[in-house]
Amino acid sequence: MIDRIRDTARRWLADGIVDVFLGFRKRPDGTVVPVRIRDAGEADGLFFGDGCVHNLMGLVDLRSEEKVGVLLKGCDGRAFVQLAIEGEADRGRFKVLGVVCPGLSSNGSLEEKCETCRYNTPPVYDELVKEDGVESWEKGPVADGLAEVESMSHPVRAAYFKNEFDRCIRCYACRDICPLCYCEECVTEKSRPQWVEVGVKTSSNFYWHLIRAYHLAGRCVACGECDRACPVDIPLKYLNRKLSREVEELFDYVPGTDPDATPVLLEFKEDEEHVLCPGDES
Amino acid sequence: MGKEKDRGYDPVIVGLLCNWCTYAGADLAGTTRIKHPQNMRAIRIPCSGRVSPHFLFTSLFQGADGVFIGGCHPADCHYTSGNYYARRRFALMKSLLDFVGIEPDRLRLEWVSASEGDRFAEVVTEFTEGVKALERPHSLKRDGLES
Repeated sequence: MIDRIRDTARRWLADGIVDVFLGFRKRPDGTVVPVRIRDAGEADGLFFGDGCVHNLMGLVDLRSEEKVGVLLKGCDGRAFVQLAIEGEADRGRFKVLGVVCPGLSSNGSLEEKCETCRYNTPPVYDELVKEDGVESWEKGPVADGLAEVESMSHPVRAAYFKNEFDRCIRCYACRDICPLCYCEECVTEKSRPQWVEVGVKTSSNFYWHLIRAYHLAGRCVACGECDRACPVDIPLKYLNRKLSREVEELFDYVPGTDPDATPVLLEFKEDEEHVLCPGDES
Repeated sequence: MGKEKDRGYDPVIVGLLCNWCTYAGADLAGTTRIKHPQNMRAIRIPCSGRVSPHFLFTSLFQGADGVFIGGCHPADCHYTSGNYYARRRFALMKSLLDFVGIEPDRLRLEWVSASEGDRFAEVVTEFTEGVKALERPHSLKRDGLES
């Protein structure tokens, strides 16, 4: 499979189909890093396998006009589709080399985000590569690990999240790594009005994490990058998963899976009053 | 808040009321002298579709015990569809806040038209009673330091 990835990247670059190709490289010490290559000769250094957890859509310059070739796993492919339907990624600018993702491991066990993965193949691609024996699949809702939090009473939940958010150093790595957080000016940088206080304290940390999660409601593609980037291990995935589940249950929408969809909060149905009191559908 | 001694839990409720329907409904409740609790501080907004999550988060973090949003009935929005968008957004805001420890009874979206002064008094009374029944401020009030 790696050979096919290298061949494709080499061909696209050599033929001028793309100006730049985004993929992965394995460093001599065994760590895997994303790379941008512009020269067909560099394609031999590309790699795919364990460690390729990064979502390359987060590294694409959406404002550039360059033609981009990009290697996308299932989750990354969903980010691409979601960006496309939001008008941020122009399909014509991208050549997508899809990977039927076998699931990635670290230290011998499957990555947490791969355990809860529901789509191992990008919804759109120009070419697709796969390993022998690995097929494309889609799954329905999977166990999301939220039951533990949801079984707590409201005050205990608040204390739980307060405890988690207290560690936040407001580095905004979660925002910066997120492929869907593309605002040129984030709400945290706005001062008229200043909704989110800048200081690192419980209330403003809480506020930041709520607004970050809400801004990703119906958009999060579960690539797990925020969680991975967090230097203090705040379980950001819980907030994202909670909203993803609500969006799917209430609006039957799974972000980034349908290239013809309208973003879920940009449309409505006249007949959906039940969303105000879920569980009480009479 | 400061009156907890003599009146028990006296919650502060922020009311975000649509200019065209619910705000006028509130006005009607007032001019026709229909009795209802005074906990709600009414804020006039152009449309329920104007409600940003910031309005809820900021209210709750700066001392409100509950937030009430009032809009035009479905199919009656002055801007055609603002209330439909509000409905989707509100459902998600509420479930997110529920998830981090804000009781769902503290948030409500209701449709009240300009002619429904009695209904306004009714839903506000019911909502206020619901917040009062929780007996204490939510856990994120005062810097989230209360247990």
